Amino acid sequence: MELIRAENLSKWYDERVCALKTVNLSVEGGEWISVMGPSGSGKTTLLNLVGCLDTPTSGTLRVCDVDITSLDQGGRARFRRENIGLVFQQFHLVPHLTALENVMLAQYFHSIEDECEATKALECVGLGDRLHHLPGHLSGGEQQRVCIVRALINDPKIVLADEPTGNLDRENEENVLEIFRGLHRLGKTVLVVTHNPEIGELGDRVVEMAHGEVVGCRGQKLYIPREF
Amino acid sequence: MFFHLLRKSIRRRWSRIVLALLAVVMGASVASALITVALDINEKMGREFRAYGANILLIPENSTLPLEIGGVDYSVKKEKYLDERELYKIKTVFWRHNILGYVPYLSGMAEVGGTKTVLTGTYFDEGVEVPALGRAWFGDRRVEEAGATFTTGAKRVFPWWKVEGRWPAPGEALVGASVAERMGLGIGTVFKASYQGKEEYFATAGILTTGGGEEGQVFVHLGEAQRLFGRDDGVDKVLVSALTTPERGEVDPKRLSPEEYEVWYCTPYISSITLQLEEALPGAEARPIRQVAENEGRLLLKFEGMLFLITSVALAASALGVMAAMTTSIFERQREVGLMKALGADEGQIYQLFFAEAGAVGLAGGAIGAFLGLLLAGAIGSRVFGTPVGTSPLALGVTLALSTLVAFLGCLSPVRRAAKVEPALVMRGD
Repeated sequence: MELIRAENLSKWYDERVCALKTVNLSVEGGEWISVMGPSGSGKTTLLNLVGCLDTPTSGTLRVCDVDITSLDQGGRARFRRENIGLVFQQFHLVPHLTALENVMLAQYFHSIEDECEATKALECVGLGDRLHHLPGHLSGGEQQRVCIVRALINDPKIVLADEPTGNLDRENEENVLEIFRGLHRLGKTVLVVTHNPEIGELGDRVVEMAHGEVVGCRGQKLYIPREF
Repeated sequence: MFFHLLRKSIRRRWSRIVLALLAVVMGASVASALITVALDINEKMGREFRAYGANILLIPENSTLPLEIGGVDYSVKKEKYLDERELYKIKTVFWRHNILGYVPYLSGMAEVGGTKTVLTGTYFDEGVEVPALGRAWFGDRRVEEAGATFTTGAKRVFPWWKVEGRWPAPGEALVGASVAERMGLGIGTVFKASYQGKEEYFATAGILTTGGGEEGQVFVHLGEAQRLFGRDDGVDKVLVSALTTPERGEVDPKRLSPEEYEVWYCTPYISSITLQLEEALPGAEARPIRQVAENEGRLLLKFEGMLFLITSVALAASALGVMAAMTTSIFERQREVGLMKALGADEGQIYQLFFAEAGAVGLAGGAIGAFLGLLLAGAIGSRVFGTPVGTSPLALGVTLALSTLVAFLGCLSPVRRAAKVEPALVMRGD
């Protein structure tokens, strides 16, 4: 089932800077897509648009069968919390909340906190003894695992990850990638932005971007608009 | 989670919160003090005003308003008099405790030292017996008011009267300064006053300076004037000093509904007290001395307006202080707000969080400010009016509400900006 469909998607800043121009892309449910390309190629912009964190300048974007370009800010917030899980390179944990509270924060904004469920989720990624530690007292790998648990706690349909291992050493990178492999096995749709070719190759498809355009797609499917 | 977030946020940004709190405390203390003073101002200012004389004139019904020029009565009137024995009833009306004093007059054109001069009998400092009143109800308390002696007279009602010498004892007179000068009367001088063949001798106890028509008159004890003019127990006018509340516009009691009438009757408006005086003294007509009453009302309204203005300025300054502190605090938290939005928080949830923080600051600052304001109001009361100002739960409630509102208004603009933060900023790491 097609989960993401972008048609002629573009994003301009201040009508002068083009971050994305005429991107067409289709992603099936359960696919792991690696988005690769040099800095400034539009990878993160594409991720932001799919994650409803930003709005496109033109084109259409359907995610989970919803035209998200027609949603207002409140609608986008609702859509995001129901369908999207975000994993950041910088982790972006709230520094004055413990690991457990950071996970429960996502539950709170989604619906209702469940400490038991949040605890179990953190135990699953080996953080059972770090529940009440502040982010500043966790290693980079541990923080990223908290970030991943926070992204997954509300059972999103799509997980978007922007350089999820960019700040990690080899061992922690492997731990995090193992979680992503697990997610993929469970049938989650994963979009990973990465510079690392090794990580890119883990995906079902590799979408290569440059200068705001999709310039290549290795793997099985590149969406071609009907008019082509 | 909400209260947890709130608690941690406040604890983490304690220095900013203290700044906002201080701004609210300062505004709230000024507001609380001035609201407390404003609620008590009518009574306090009323007492101050009463130091400037009477505000109600009682005359016999159907007699014309006396026309005095230079202390001489030129008005045409029927020979009607109020009964001095009935005057104690002035202190028995519903608002009897607001009657601060009254001064009866009986005037006539007597011959003093061979010259026609206005001679007025009055109370200088007289004890009036007020009999015990029937049972009265105050809320659920039954009170029996015992009889008492009410001391009244010119000495109390006209405190600005300047007496050189002393106030007169029986057989003595208070001579107006211009009369004394014209007739060469000095303290201790004995003079004869005659009226239609009757004669009385008075010793000059004091020379009176008022800056008004009283300086052209000779004042003696009321009983002596009644004897001279042959008007036993007669009084031709009474000046009453009553503590009143300014009326906003004229009210015709006949057009009021029973409920409105009750409220009006039970409020110490000058018009309701004059009606009560007329009810107590049949045959008397009570008239407010409009100029005095209106000026007092205008002054009170201006004073209240000034208090309102100062309170508004203090609260506005307080709101600006909160805004400055909250703007800095919220600016520092922009990334956190962006992250919350990235996690799915909508604008409402962002508003809720920051307004709860502002509400906590407003309530805490309001409570501290209200307490400080009460101390300030007490100091104002003692220094300006000589008595402390009474505390009021209304002032406390209004202060808390105002300080919370000020905190909300102060953080409205920074929170609106924060709620518009694009979550993409967090992803970009800007």
